[in-house]
Amino acid sequence: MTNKERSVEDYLDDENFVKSVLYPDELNSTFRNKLEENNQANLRNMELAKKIILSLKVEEKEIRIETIKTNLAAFRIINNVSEGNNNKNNSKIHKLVSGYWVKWAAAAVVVFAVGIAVFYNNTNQSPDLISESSTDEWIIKSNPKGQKLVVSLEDGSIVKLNAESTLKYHANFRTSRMVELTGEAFFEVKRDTLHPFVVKTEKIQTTVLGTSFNVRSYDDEHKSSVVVATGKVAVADNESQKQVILLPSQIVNFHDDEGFDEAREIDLINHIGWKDNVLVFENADFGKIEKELKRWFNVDFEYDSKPIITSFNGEFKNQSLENILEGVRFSTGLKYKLDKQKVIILH
Amino acid sequence: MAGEASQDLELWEEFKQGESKALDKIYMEQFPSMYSYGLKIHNDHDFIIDSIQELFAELWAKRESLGEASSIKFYLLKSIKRKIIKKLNRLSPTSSLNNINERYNFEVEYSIEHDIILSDTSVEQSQGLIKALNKLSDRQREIIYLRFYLGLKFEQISEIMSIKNQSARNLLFDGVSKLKAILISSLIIFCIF
Repeated sequence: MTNKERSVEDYLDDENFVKSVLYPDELNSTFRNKLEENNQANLRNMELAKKIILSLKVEEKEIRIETIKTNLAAFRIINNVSEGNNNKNNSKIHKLVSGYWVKWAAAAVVVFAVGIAVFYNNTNQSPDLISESSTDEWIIKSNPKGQKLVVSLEDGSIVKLNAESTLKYHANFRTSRMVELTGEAFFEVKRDTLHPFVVKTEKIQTTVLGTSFNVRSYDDEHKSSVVVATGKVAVADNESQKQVILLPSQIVNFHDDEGFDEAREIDLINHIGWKDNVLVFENADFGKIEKELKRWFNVDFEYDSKPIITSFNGEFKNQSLENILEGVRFSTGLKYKLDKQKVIILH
Repeated sequence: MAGEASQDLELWEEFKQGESKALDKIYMEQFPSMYSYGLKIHNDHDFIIDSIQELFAELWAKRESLGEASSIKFYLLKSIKRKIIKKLNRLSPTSSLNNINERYNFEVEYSIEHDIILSDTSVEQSQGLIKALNKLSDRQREIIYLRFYLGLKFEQISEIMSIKNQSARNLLFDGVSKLKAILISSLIIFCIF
């Protein structure tokens, strides 16, 4: 190997050299080796070139991957990008069947249910709840069983928080519209296409530009689901890049172990009725009834063996616990006694 | 290099065919460069994000009639610059010069970690260096940025900046030579001891 004389300019012209200076971890080793074979003049020129590059180093405003991802989701919503090949899919765009969603025409509604949504344990996204809340940078709204709460966000969006639910968002929410949720909430989001609104749960995140939607994420369910009433949302898997665009009256489920299933049409009231105090049971078994009533009314159940109810259907608007239990009794023959905050099942 | 070009050609072809995966990949990979470069032309986060979204929307809409791209990065940087300048022109049409290179500043902040990097330089030399950096013209800053940070070739830089290949080179090395002169003295001292 002859030691050819290389000027400072030669070094600056050498792409690999520039990279080795700017990103020392990646290519440094090759140049460290070269350094040893070089003559004194080259060594000097190289050192000079290095210093020149370093003194030209620029302050960069970092853009976070999260931000890019959110913008991509917004882009896909606005531009109707569906999964897979879009040139062929164009004819397949879903024609909306008229249905319940007209009722909610004011805004889009999304429902999603997330199992095991223990957000704060997710070290990737929020390192430590306790430290965050103590720095006063996070705002946390929490709801016990049997209560609902309305939260007004700084950007004009409104959130209705269901029982046993927690909503968490940054104090500077206005610059980056992102909330984290466990439990269930209904959102009415102010439209702002430049600042997508993101709802994060443990497994998935939902991006909207301006809609209202309902998020459900109780930790005793092993799936998450999103339902849209009007407007459009993008639902993405937190881990992979997989993304689903949902249209009004559609639902998509995300199963903890299997990921997304196919989006399909549903009856909206079953999924968002709660926000207007409509409790809906659709083919509910006893376990489901028990769970919902516990959550809505903060009651306990007492029984020796689980009564067998397999498929109860009912819709209760603004009804008391007594009335709902009567409804269940009427159609299933369930015998019970109500004792203060306890439902005792009789044989 | 050839591998890179053919990879880009392939990815771009998939984009043109409407593959959402190709869109996602290009978007995620190219966004950071487009964003940083854009911010230097016009330092407004929302404006730049908006411009990038618009550019992608236009490309996606007319994807089937787009040409080839052997360097996606270069293609998008060139396009985003054009887009930003066009939007800026629309905002202030009063001074609509034809030469776009005179229409904008190129704002960069050189990180003054010189104290650490140039620990062996004297105070005077550091000051001289900062002075020299401040004396770089906007176009010199831009060339340096495109060359050293975004890794573009001189042909690509000259196209983005609508100047001749040789002028791009001259501008870069002219700027660099001032820095070199200041640094040489410090380095001699460094080497002796």
